[in-house]
Amino acid sequence: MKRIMSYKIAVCVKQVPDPEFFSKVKLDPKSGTIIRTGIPSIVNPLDRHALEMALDFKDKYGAVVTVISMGPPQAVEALQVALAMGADEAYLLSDRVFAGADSLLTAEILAKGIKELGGFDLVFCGNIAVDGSTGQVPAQVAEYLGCPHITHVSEIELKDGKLEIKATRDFGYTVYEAQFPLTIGVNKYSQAPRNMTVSGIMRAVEYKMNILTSEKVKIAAKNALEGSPTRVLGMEEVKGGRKGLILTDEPKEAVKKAVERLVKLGAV
Amino acid sequence: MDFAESRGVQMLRELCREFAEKEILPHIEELKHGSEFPYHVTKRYGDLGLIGLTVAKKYGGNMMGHVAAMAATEELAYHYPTLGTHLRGYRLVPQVLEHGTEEQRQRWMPKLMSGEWMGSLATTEPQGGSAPGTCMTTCRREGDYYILNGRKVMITRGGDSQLVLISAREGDKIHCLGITKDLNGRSTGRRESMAGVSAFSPVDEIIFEDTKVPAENLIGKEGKGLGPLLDGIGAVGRAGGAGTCLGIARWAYETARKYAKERLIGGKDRLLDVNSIRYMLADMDLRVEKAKLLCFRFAWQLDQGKTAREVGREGAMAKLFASETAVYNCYKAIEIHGGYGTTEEFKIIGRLHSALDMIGAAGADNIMRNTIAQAQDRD
Repeated sequence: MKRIMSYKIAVCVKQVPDPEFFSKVKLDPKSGTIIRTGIPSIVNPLDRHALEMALDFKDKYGAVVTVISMGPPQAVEALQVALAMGADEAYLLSDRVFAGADSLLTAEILAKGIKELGGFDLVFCGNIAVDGSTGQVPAQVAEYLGCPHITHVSEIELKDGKLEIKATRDFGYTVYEAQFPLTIGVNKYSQAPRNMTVSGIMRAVEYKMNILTSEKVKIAAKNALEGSPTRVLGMEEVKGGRKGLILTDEPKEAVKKAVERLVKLGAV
Repeated sequence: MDFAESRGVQMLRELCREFAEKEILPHIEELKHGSEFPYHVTKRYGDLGLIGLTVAKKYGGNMMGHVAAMAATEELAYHYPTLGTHLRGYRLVPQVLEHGTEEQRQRWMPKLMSGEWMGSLATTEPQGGSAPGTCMTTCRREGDYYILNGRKVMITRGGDSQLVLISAREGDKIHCLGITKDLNGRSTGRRESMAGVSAFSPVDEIIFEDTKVPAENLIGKEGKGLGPLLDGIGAVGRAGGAGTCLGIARWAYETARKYAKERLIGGKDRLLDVNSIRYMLADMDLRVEKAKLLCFRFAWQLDQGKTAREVGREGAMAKLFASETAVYNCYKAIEIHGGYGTTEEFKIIGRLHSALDMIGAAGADNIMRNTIAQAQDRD
């Protein structure tokens, strides 16, 4: 079937510290930002889901998929992974002035970058990033773009020129009808992300990365720390544990005591 | 001399890791004990582009190179040794087809690259595997066909492969012939029960009884069949074997170190702080690094355009040392784990089995010593 439309899709991608090394992550006491030196980085897992949804949409309906990331120069690695998965274009919004931005300012910068690139029919984001975990960026980006947003999205289909969006949570799902343009926050119930391919990798490492600095994406404040209304004050590792109780009675008596305890705790 | 790994190879390792962890390991028991060959796994190697790492783009490959192939084999074998064996196996036939005709490459390569077809090399016979020149499978030319009789043994996926390249003798000449699965007279005989590196990669006897092979399936020139086969074995087989052993060796070291870090003696002192354990781990780490240097030097030389014959000594060193390191590191990992070391749960015994399998594979270790000695004689 010859496609007569080619949609323009943007996917916001963030490079985050690898969660396996979270116990070693430290905060800069002055800025409240994560010190990334020596900590391996990955693409935020839900951003890969977002990219998969965009690529699946492209496969079915025709689109050009552009990935956009705001971060330091090393965030190029995250964009390379996205290119190797099948993204068509990649842009890094990078400037010292952006360093330390909170979620609101990050969303503003991303939205300005998206507008600088001429706008898009769909903007996909991962619902939440594993490091900051605010879950605010998709909605904030939509507000700055002046378009509607739907979060917790697990499926998207195009029917008669309109979007049918399924948002799935732990307790159930909701189906929406929506129109372009739209910003979408993708959650873990969406399709598993595709792998990179060897040819994708070879293309990604040869790709001349597009860098947008504060020259093209201007912020009002002198720097991001001043322009951010929120700041991270601290970070602690939550140490989980369980209270244990060993019952050494005969099985019938042990079961009776275990049930009594569970009832007392309100577990049953 | 730049020893840094390129960004492309780093990403290739990530691709292999994700493939192994997400698509293979969760289903490993079904794969090991399934009644049919998992062709879908071969297809995935093709989809991802792994089979074409050293094949030209016009045949569906990507030509990322031998260093990339070594890293991919190592990374796959690190996660599960059979995955390294699979990659080595899939890449063998395309390498030999470099010596074939353009028509043969156009006919067979697209299916091999995509993973729709599997290929195998079959030179081992009951009387020996390390000396392909002693081939006793016979063929005779009759019109437009070669008529084959004989058998090959210990052929990885021999029964399931759609294309098997074999050595066959016509008088004092040895030919290389491509045998497709549809040919009458080709059958599968004894299937060896393997664990280790061949967990879901069966090892078969292939029997030829008056098998009629079209003359256009001759690879290279009549009587010059050993050259193409030895090139495949040398460039891909040997490198693939070395890479598989390197992956096993690295896994054993990292697993042992992790265990020693976490294990407390008497609830307070780390096993890692015991000097004898520290020295064992230092030895294991050092051996992995040495094996890595030999393996990647060999791969780099192939990327510089050297033939497997020209760097036979370096290939032999890589395979021999990586093989011995794999066995050594698995053995030491068992020592460090104490009583747990030989339990199935800790998986080291399975890895040791794989390492032992590799002693006689991809160039048996003592044959590698012979290759090194022969190179010394030429000096």
